Amino acid sequence: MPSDVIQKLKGLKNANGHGRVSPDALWIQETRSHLMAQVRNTTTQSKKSVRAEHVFQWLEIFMPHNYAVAARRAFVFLLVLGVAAGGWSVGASASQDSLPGDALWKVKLATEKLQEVAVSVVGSNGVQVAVKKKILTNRVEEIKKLSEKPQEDYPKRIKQAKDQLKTSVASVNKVVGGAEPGQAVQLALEVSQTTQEASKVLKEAGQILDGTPANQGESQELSQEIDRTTKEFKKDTLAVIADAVQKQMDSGSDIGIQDENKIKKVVTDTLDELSGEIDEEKTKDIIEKAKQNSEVARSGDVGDTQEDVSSTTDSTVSLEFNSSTPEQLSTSSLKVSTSVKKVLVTSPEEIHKEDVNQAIQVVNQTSQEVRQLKEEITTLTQTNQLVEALERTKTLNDVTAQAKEGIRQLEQYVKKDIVSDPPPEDIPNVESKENGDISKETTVQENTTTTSTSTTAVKTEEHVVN
Amino acid sequence: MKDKIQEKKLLYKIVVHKDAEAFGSLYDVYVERIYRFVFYKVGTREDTEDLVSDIFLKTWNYLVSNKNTEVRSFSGLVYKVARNAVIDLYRKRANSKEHPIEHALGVEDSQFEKNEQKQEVAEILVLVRRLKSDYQEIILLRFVEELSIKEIAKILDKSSTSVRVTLHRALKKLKELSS
Repeated sequence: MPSDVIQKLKGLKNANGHGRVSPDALWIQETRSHLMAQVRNTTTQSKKSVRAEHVFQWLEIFMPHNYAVAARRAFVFLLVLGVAAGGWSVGASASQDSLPGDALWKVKLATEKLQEVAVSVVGSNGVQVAVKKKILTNRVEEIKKLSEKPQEDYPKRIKQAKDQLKTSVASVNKVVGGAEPGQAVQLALEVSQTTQEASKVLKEAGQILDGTPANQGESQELSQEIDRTTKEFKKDTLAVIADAVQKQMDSGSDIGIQDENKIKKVVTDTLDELSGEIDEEKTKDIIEKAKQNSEVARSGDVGDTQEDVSSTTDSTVSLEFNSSTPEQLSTSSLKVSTSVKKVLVTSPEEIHKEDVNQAIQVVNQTSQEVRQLKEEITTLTQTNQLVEALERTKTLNDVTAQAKEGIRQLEQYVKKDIVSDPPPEDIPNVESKENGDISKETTVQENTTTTSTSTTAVKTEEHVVN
Repeated sequence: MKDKIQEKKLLYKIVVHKDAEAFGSLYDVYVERIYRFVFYKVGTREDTEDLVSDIFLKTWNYLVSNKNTEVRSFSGLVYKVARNAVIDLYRKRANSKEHPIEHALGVEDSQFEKNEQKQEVAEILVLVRRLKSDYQEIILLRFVEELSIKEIAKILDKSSTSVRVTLHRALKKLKELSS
């Protein structure tokens, strides 16, 4: 019987009472003492530091062999990955609060770039836009922080931030441009909000730069750059939305009412913003002063733009406003072509009387165009011709920029009160006596030396705006 | 299970930190088992005591000297060292043309036989003695030391299947002898 045999075999183990199978207790104790003495002699006190090999031995002892081998490989892989990623992440996380101009800002940009690359490989358009929008928001926040407490190197830092912001806006717009018709409008509208915010903080930075006493010239130049950049942002945003709407319409699907209202709001907001950029009363005043100073003032010039335009041969403003019905507005019957001679002035000292006349013409023409475009945009928006409304808003953006530039030149001219002909020596007497303004007289006297030695040059170019 | 984990902890201390106290703890657990295992194979107290002392010292040296040691079980290692030590003793005895096993077993058997209460145990020991060496070893490890098939396979460097087959044959042979 096997079970009997097994029971008897187990009895061998319990045969300890016999006294022969079990070792003697004294022998056990003596052997132990002897053994421990030998064992202790072979060991040296080592520090109980944890090393990788200890981990592997732990795995080997406590886990099944196959698992231990797999775990060992995984451990090594993770260790390598961890060291590599750890070093990077420490640097990257430390750079998260850095601002343009800081040493770690480049690391922050590199981290963001890495994210962009990662999502461009695996992410949908929506995910890519979300990541790029987040990055754009980072730039906006950076500019906000820089503007909170402007440092000495504020212009330099803002320039870096502005350049990077431009890159971010272009990048996100590109992805939105490649989005599918179903989501393009929504994405474009989402991005437009962030871009508007970006424009706003940039403008505030520009205002701070305008009031910066140090490096006045550099700051002014940067301020103008910022102005141009915000204009570009506006133009690009409108173009992206217009493309998205067109794409949606081409695909045969309608734009939802919500998106439609959002687009209208974008157009209306832009319109309001652009309207606020040109103060008509102030413009009239500047033109008046400029005319007086350049001695070219003619009766009816100021405020009568039609006469200005028609009497000019060099500049052509063709306004064929044939119909105001919405249907015709959406076609090419409305032709707002502006061919103006733009006066490029590198410094106020170079302004001639002719230049002033031309600047006045530009301002008059563009102001008129602005009024016309505003009316058209309002009509197009009311009749849900959104693509046309967006396109006209883009044009309005350009024309307003031209008008502002013309006004800026006239402002400089009026401020400096410089005219190369008649000779500067004659001006102070006339101006100061006529106006009875002591401060103005002083200004003119100071400028006399400068203008008499400066080389005057008129630079003109044909600039066509459609 | 708890003992197994405790044993692994002590083994880890020995391998990683060369902890003599941990080795002492394992000695306390295994000394009687190894003594019994060796005694049933060599048959004399003197040889058993010499071998057991040597077996534990060899086990310690193996654990602390080999950095690439992949020891998963202390029991597996110490039984393996014990088995090799016994084999070495067999060789030594063979060279000296001695037959101490039979002689020793005979002495011990007579001791068992004198005790009527242990008569059955003595009988089975005599039967085991008649088995060939492989069968004896596997039966002792399985039923006296109560090791698992997996542990026996590791000690004997055989597959679990091979151990099961050998054990089955050993029991069958023992049954034949007993009948």
